[in-house]
Amino acid sequence: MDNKGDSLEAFLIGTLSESLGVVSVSNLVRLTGGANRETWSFDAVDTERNASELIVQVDREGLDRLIGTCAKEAQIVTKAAEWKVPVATVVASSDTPNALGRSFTITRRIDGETIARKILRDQQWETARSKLVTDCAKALAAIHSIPLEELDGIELVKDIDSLASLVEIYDALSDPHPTFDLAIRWLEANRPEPLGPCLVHGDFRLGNLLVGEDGLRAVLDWEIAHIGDPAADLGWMCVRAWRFGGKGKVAGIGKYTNFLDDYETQSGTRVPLETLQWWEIFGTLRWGIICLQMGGDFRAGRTSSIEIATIGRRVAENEYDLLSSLKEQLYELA
Amino acid sequence: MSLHEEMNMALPPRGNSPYDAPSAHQLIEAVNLLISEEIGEEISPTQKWKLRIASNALGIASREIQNIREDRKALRSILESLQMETEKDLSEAIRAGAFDDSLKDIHAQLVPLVDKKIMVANPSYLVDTNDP
Repeated sequence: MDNKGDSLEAFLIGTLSESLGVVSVSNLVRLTGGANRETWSFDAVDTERNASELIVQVDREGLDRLIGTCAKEAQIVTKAAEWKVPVATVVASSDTPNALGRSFTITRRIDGETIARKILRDQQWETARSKLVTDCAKALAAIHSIPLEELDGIELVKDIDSLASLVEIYDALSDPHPTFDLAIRWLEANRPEPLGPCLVHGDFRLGNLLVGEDGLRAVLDWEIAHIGDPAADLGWMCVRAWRFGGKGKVAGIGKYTNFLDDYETQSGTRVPLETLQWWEIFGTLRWGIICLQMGGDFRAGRTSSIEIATIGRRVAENEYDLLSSLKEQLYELA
Repeated sequence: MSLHEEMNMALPPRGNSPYDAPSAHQLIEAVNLLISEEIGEEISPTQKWKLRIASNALGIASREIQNIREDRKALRSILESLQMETEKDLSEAIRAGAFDDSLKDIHAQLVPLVDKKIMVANPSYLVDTNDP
């Protein structure tokens, strides 16, 4: 175990000793994945020798704009659980200064898989795959059904004009990409009727979904949940990056119409296909701009992570996808 | 024919004058081979994952070095045909609505440029993913 693991172990015992009576921590293992946060799996044992299987997430050092989101995320997850959204139960969370110097959340560990390529390809997840799009539509409908007054105590960003907010970020980066500007121009001219506003997960996609053999078990990573348009969550799930090489338009598995039918069954709201596609194009632009921003973190010396550095080069993938989608739209092939 | 010529001792041409061989491109390729094939067999899954990212990064660097001259030329000629100096000018003109009546034309100009970027960043992305 390296020094980082040792100090984390001591921190976890200190944090969980009062609430759970934890006296020892074992099997502390760093999990792969997650560019913004470190995720560790561990077992905690209390004075009665009862073991709890837990997960701790810690904000990555050096990325200041993310600090302070864990406690808020825990509040949202707890609320989502009340409204029947499948989530991992929060055990402890804080963004106040602590021995670790970074904010964290500890949740119960749920068995299953989050790695998209495995979920999409391995035989083990075949049953889960067959109902995953329906499960996702159901979870999304549950998230979007939470009455806004239920969220009153939680400080949530209200993203009323998502396109304007995104363009503001893009302009502030001062690194022009003509393909992005073409997409912005098209998006501005073809805005769909707004839906909502309601709670939007903001990053609902393969990779943030914990899947068991029986289907979707938990929606993870609520760090950018906000108030916005529910169709944003639907479109984001369809962005090519989140198909992980799968052929289906929805999460690499499903078809647009089935997804929209399922969502309508669960929520009572029919999202028009054009609205979904507008939000998918918006989502592609958004992921492109996030890639630009993350690559920028490396460029500006805020991180030395080679993983984040190479995400900067994924900008081109989004330009490629934008041009493919815009071709369908401009030539009315869709 | 001299004995040396018969043995075919002539070295492949050196594209990186005034430097000596191996070139930056060849060095990167050699390191990539070392980390992806040789070292890759001996390490933990987490380290393997990190090494795959590193190998991927070297692949980008290697392709960039190979393609940058040609691709810069292509960018220049696209900008010239649109009477623009820089990508920034083009971005600003598009956003200002200068091409609103000819979005298809701009689209057609950007496609080959972005294809070139993808060929460097991630060539395997250039496949059709649409449902048959």
